[in-house]
Amino acid sequence: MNRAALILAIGCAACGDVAIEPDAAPGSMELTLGTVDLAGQGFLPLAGDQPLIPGAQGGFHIWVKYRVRGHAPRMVMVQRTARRVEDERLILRADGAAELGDPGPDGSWELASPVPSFMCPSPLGVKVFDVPVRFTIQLADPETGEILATGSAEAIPRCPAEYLEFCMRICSG
Amino acid sequence: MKTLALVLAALSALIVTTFARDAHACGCFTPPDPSVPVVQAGERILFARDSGNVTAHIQIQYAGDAAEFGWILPLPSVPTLELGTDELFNQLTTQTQPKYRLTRVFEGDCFSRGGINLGGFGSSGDSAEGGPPQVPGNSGPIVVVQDSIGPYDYAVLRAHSRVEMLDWLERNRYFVPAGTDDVVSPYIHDGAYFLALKLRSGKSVGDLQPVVVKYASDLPMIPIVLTSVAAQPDMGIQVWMLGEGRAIPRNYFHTVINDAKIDWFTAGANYNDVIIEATREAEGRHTFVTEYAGSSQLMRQLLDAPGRFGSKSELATQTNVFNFVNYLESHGFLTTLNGGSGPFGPIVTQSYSSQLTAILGLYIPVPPALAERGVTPSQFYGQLDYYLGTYRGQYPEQFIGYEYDYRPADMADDLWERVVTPTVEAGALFSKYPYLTRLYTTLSPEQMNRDPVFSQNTRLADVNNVHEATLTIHCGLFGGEDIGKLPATLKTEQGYEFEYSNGVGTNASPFNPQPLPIDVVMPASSRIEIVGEEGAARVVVDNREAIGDALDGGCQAAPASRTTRGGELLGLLMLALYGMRHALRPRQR
Repeated sequence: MNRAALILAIGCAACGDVAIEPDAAPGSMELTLGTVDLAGQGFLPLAGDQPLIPGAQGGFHIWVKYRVRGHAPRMVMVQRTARRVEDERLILRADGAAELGDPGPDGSWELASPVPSFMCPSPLGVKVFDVPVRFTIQLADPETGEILATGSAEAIPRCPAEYLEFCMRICSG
Repeated sequence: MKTLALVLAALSALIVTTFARDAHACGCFTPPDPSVPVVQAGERILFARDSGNVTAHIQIQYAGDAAEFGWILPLPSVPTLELGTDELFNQLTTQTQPKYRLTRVFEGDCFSRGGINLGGFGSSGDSAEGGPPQVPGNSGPIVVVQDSIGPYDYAVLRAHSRVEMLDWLERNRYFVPAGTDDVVSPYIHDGAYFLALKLRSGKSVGDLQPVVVKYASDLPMIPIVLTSVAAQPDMGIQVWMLGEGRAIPRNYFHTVINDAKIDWFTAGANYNDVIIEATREAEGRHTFVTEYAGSSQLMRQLLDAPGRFGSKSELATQTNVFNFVNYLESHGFLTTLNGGSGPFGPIVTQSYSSQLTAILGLYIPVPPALAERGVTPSQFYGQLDYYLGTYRGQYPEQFIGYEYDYRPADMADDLWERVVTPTVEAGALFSKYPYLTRLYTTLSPEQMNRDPVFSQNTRLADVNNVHEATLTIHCGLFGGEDIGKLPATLKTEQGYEFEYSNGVGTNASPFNPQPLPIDVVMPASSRIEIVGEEGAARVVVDNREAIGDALDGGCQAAPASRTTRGGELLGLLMLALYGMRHALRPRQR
C-alpha cells in the first residue's frame, strides 16, 4: 500500500462525525453504512481508502457500522456482504441478528460498536486490497424474511504500512 | 519442550465381499461396514458458526510430561471457555468416517463345480472394524481473565505485546514451546487476545479434556502457523463444521481424491497415504478433502438421547461403589459407538471415556498391582465387582494397603461437570444446525504457513462418506478351479476400470493384498478446485483424463470407459456360450 492512502485514511478518521445521506427513499426505513476512526470511535463515511485493520487471528478486516432511520424498535436479521466491484466476486457473507433500539433525538439509531468485516485471508484467487469493494448490509424481518432496508457503500481496502508484506500476502488470494 | 504428539492408531480394516450367483450383485450377504483406518489427527476441531459467533470444540492431543503441557490459542475477542467431551469426537469420527465398500459380482456360473477354491476373499464375514470467571485484582493489565475449569488453569491475555505476553506466561508457569516467539507475531495486535491453558497442579495428561471456546468472529480459523511449532510431518488436521450448508476452505484449495488409488480390497486401508499424496499435489499443500457433507441428522440424539445419564440426585444416593458403577453403565455413561453392521448384526462397542475413568480414578483408583499387571481402567471399572470381590479374595496380596474413597455426592458432582453437561450441550448442536461437513488434510510443519479459514456455500452438493466399487469376476460358462485366477474387472465409484486378466489372486485379504490400480503411476488427486462461498467449484487441476490414460496404458480415458483386456476373443466366445446356456435354462418364477 502506498503511504498516501494510509495518511488519507487516517485523515478521514480524524474528521469526526459527518453528515451522510442515507441510501433509501424518504418514508421508508433508511440504512446508512459507515465506519469508525482508528480508535474505533465515531461514524465516518465508508468510502475512499480504508485501512485493513489487523485482526487477532492474524487476518485483516474493515470496520463497518450502520445507522437506521425511520424504524420502530425491533429485532432484525442482518446480512452483510462484501464484493469486489470489478467482478462481483464475493469476499464475505455473514449473517447475524440485531435489535434496533429507540431512535435518538435526530430520529436515527446507530449500531453501538462497529463490526469487523472479515477481508483476509481472502478467498482463494480474490485479491482484496487496492481494489474497490462494495459493502452491503441488508436488514430483514426474522419471521417473514421481508427485506426492510438495504444500504451499501464502496471503499478501497489498503494494507497498513507496518504489516505491508504480510497483508499483501494473505489478501492476494 | 515435549511436542504435541500424534498417535497414529491404525486399526485393522475389513474385506468386504458380496456374493452372488450368476450375473447379479446380490443382497444375500450384508456386508460389514468397512471404515478406513482411523487416523488420530493432530488437530480435531468442530466449528459451529452463526450470527457472528463461532463455537469451537477442540480436542487437545498431547503426549508428554504434564508439567510441560501448554496450549495457547489466539482469538479475536474475549472468549468463554467450557469443557468439552471426547465422546463428541469419537462419535463424529465413527459416524462420518469414509468407508470404501467393494461388491463382488460373479458373471457366469461360478459355483456349479464342486470343490471350488474361493480364495481368501471367500470368508468375508470376519469383521474387525478399523478400527463466570473472575478478573483477579492483583494481576497486571495484560490479564483479562484468570481461572480454572475442570483439569485446567487458564488465562485470557491481551495480546498487544509479544514480550509482555510471553513473559507473563513464563512467570505464571504456562509452558511455552520453544520457537513460539517466531510464529506468534502475526497474532499480536491491540484488541487481540490469547487463551492459555495448563494442567492444574496434581492433574495428569490423562485428565486432558476437550475444550469449548466461544468467541465473536465472522469466520472460524485454525491458527496453523502457531501449531507448526509443535507439529509432526504429515500431521492430520480434521475439521467438522456445523452450519446451514456445506463448509468450504476459504483460502485453501479443495481436492477430490482419485479413488483408483484406494485399496478397495482392504476397504481403503491405504486411505491416509492417498490423502498425503493428494495433498502434496496441491500448490503449497494448502488443500482440504471433503470427507462428508450432508445432514447432521446422523449425529442427532447420539450424545443427548432423552433420559440418558439418569438423574444426578439418584446417582448421588447409590449406596456402594458397585451400585454406583452399575448406575453409570445402565444410564449411558459409557461411550457407545455404532460401528456399522457385521454379519451377525450391528457392531456396537461400549467403552469408558478418559473423562469417566479420570473421575472414577480420583475416588476408586485402579490398584497399583493390577495396573502393573496390565489391567486397564476400563477393564477394572467394567468388572469392578469381580476385581474387588472374587479376585481380591483370591489374591489379597495385590490389595495390601489399597483403599478407595467412596463419596457418591462428590463423584456425581464431578461427573455432571465434566461428563454430563459437556456431552448434552455438544449433542444439542446437532439439533440446532442442520448441516455437517467433515474436512481433512495433512500438513508438515514447513507447509504450515497459511492459517485456513472456513466458510460455507449452501449450493454445493452433498458428499457421501460411503463409497462403492464393483469387482466383476468373469466366470464364463464353466467357472474355474480357482476364482482368484479368473479374469476380473474392478470399477470404482468414479468410473475408473481396471482389468485383472489373470485374476485378483487366490488369497486376497488384508494380510495379503492383491495387485491393484494403486500400483499404477498416476496422480492421487482426481481434481483440485477452488470452492467459493457461492457458485460452483472451479477446477484448476483436472487429472481425470490422465488417470484414465494411466489405468488404460495410455489407450483410453476413464471414467465411463471400458478397457479392453487380454483374451478378449475368448471372452466373447465364453459370453456367447454363457448366453446360450441361459437361453436354454427354464425360466425361474
